[in-house]
Amino acid sequence: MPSDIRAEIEAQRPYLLRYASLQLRHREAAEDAVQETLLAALAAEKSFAGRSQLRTWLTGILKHKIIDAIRRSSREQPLEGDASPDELDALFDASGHWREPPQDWPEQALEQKEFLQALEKCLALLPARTSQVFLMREHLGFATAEICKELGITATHCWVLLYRARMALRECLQLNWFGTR
Amino acid sequence: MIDCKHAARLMSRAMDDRLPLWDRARLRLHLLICDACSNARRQMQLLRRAVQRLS
Repeated sequence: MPSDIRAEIEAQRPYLLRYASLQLRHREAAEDAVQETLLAALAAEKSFAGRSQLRTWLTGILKHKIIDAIRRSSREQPLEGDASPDELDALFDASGHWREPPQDWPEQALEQKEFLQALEKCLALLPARTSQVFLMREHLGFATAEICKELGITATHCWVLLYRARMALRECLQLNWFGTR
Repeated sequence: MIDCKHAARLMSRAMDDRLPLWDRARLRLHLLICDACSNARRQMQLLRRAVQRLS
């Protein structure tokens, strides 16, 4: 294998580590997934053959390693909490109306690096399992049926966790980003 | 007629799976008359696009 390809693969390590750290909260687990990815990439270098961008190819391998890690950890530790969305009912009054009606957020936020950083901070505040399900859905792009299967939870539990994540992130960004602008 | 609490759950679920016809109709009707829920839905969609931009 030409050494420049090796160097190019190795140069993607920081990007891959950031990607993995988003999905896997434990630094060690993220580093392991990246290490496994780089080893798999070096072993399969021939199958790359410039079919796609190096980073895209590596990210594809990494996704599988992340899923393996999620699968392992979901076997080791049961889901926290129950499937009831009741704690979020505090967002609504007795007649089911919003206590604080959601505002119209400016789309330009998407173009701001600081906004994405605020989002990452809000994600870190979610319970581990909630953020994991949310990121499997929204970042890795899994269908809920696949998430249920991987984590061994019911579809209803999955919807509740996704709902919880979205509502909590809304609140967090309203407080820490949109509300202060 | 559903309330905002119910509408919020339905609109989140609609982002993940196809809602039953009846729920879809009730949600659409609610969104027509409720600005707060329409904003909430746009916020959730903005969240989705923002998360896709991470890393």
